[in-house]
Amino acid sequence: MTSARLRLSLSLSAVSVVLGFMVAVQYKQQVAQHPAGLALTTHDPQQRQLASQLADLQASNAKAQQELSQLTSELSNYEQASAGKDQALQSLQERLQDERILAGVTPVEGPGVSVTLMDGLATGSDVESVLTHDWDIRSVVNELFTAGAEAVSINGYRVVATSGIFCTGPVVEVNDHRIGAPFTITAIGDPQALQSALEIQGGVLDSLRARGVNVSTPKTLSNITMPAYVGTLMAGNNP
Amino acid sequence: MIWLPVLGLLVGVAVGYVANVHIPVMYSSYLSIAILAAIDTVMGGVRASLERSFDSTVFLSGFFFNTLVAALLAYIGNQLGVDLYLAAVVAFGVRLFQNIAVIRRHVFAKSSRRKRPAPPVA
Repeated sequence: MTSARLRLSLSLSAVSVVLGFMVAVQYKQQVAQHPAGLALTTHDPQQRQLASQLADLQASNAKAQQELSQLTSELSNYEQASAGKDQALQSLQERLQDERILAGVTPVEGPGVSVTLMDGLATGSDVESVLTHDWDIRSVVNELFTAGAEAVSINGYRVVATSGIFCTGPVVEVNDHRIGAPFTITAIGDPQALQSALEIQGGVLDSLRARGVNVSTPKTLSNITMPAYVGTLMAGNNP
Repeated sequence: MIWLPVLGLLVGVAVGYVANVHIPVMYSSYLSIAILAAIDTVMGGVRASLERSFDSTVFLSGFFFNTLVAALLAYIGNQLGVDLYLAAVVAFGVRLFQNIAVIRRHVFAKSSRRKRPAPPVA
């Protein structure tokens, strides 16, 4: 009787260890896959594998981007430190910094203007004319750069020399990011110059308003912070 | 004595949680079927011990055999394009409920026997 009870207890325990192990492994994996509580309903192993691969890639991508921005700021710190007291080096350093701001690879802050383009209300049959198109955004951006803007961003995405602004169906693609209306275009530079360039009689905003696009009055802002452009600068990266 | 299996379960959970074991996502659905089979076997074992017909050889072999067969069934179903894992889910699920119902009755019978010396009539 006692030995039978002992054997019962022992075999139950052995099995419990294995069961507990399996449950814990499965649970851990399930939680790791769906941290937001989004349960994947498919049972197809291939789809699940692809989904987890995608999640892994996105996570490593975000991590790498963070690392990149950290390294960039570290690098600029080192550069400033290495310039030291040498006058020539310091002026070179300043020029380098200016060029970087123009290239868009460093975050910048400063005064500037901001304007928002929205699709207007269609009153007649000509819906096309009241929509904000990619070329409308492009012309506003070009106007701002011509007026001396040092940095321009659209809905938070920095515009650099290799940026594309083009139409993909109902949205506009900027730096491979798809964004929809309203488009807030922000520029850093001399606020007065930028504002008058936009608001010039018969200028870019006037022609947009004449077409029926909903254009806000350009606002001058005393302090704008703009993120650096993250992505490949294709022109310079191809050996 | 009754605490030993519970302790074992806790140890197993702790080891599984701490150990850095990673099952490829492809096989995680097989593991879930295997877990279902294992839970079913454990419930069967508890029931057998309450009915005093427990046999540790049958129990242990059943545990590992059922687990493997369930995973194998799911695998074969995947290869054939038939959702055979549903068969395992239904079969083990139904048996799980039956076993739990029987265990519940046994526990009730035991506790009422303890209260009253006279054995209850069905």
